[in-house]
Amino acid sequence: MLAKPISLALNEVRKAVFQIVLFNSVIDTLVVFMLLLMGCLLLTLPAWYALVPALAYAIIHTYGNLKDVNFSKIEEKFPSLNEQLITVADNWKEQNEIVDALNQEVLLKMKEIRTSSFLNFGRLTREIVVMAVVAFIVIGSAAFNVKFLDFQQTIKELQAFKPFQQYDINKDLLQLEESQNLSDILGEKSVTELGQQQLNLQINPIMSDVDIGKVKAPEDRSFRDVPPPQIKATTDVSFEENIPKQYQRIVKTYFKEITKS
Amino acid sequence: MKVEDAKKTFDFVFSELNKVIVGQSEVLKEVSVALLADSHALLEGYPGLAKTLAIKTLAQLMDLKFSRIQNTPDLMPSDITGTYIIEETSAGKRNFKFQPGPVFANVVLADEINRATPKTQSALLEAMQEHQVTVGNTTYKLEEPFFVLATQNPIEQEGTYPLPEAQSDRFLLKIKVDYPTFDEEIEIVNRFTEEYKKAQLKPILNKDSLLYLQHMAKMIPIANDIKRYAVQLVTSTRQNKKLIEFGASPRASIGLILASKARALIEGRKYVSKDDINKMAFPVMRHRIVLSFEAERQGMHEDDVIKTLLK
Repeated sequence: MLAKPISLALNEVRKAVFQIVLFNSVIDTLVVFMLLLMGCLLLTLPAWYALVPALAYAIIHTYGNLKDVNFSKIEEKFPSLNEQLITVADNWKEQNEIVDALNQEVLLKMKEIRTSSFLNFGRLTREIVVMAVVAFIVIGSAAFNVKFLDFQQTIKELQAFKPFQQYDINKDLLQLEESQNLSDILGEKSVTELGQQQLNLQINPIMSDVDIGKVKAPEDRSFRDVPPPQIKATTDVSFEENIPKQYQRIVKTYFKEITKS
Repeated sequence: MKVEDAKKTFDFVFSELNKVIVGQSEVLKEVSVALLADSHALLEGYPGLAKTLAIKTLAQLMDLKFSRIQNTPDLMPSDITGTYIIEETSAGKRNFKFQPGPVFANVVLADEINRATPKTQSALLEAMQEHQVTVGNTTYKLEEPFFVLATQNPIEQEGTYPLPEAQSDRFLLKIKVDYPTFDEEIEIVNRFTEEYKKAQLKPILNKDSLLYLQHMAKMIPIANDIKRYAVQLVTSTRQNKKLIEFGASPRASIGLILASKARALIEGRKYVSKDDINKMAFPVMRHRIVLSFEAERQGMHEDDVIKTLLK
């Protein structure tokens, strides 16, 4: 009566293989999580952003792996059990001398099954190396504050960006400018388009040559009313050439008057 | 008896057969499969390939009642099943007495079965399927085990009547007998052209041991995956309309599993392997499929189509 021992042995093998597959899935998930975490740190994203896709990966990957766990997979690793294990697994409830003999034979051969055979040591080593490298990168980037892109700031900037029509423009001023030529007063149109947006200017203390701590208050300086004698005003030849004749006298008088002052 | 003992027995049977038959090891194994599966086999091959000799020799190795029917176009059904004859008693009274035909044996060799007319061929139908014969109003049970091992020449030859599908379906296996290899033929020539001491064969299997071996063959377990594979193979003959006009019946599925179990026992295995299914697919299915015009146009034979299905 070998039905019970074979059933127990089959369950034990299945359980062991399940554990190994689960372990492999955990390692795979850890690698994925570490890579995602590194990405989040370099892009200045919150660390928990890495957790959600890692969890999703863990569920899908583990489910897929566990679904594939069957006796055929075990037989692939142990050719001496080829087609015998699945036969025993499907027929262990049968009771006849041939099934009993097969159960006995398979029970003996099952002793050869080593759970370590289901561990892919090459892959495991590669995954551990990847995890170590990624861990160093994560620690280094956190210590030296290395960032490829301030993702949050970029998002804020993108949110703050409005198309031209949405800017708060003083329409009265625009109308005034359109009706009268007030460009001398308002300056260039492109400057007015800034509207009432506040400009945030930040000076990077590392990049700037200015030492804020050494800046003194501006000194009072007195200037003379009469310019020094070295400064003279003379009429330019071009004026005489380009100015129409009827205006030349007026212009000359104008400049003479200026130099007198 | 253990599976290992069954293997030893068959190894001994084959070694004894090889004293008479040169080569044809696969043919002999397939005939043994039919015996173990409690079914019938049809051997097809050109004349002179030792089909009849193989069956006669196998029958000699079994301590069973053997009979031979030499089929000819004028053979009548009653020549096979038996008939009523008038018997006169000592008192002078005349009675009808049933005279059993050659079908009342354990191993029936139906030689050149396709030379008999369809009517005569059909006389074997009931015997093969039901293991009984009805003559007049009386049904007679046949003794177990009961095997019909038939031989036939390829149906394309003159003066032959192809077996109807219903009849060929009763044969578990259609075994193709091929020409021997060059070396085998040299050995055949040596044996039959020189002074050769005729092999003395002794019965190895008796009725009880054969029945027990049949029982053992049925006990061989099979994995569900392999069972599904076998049934899928048979059902695929009904789905491949491009190459097969009529596919194999569920009887082919039963036969394929039984034959695979018997093959596993002969090879001393306690389980059925995929290789058994692949090997037995040819003799089990080749007479159960009707090729389409497209397959025939491409010059394909039944075995080529089965090979395609196995891929």
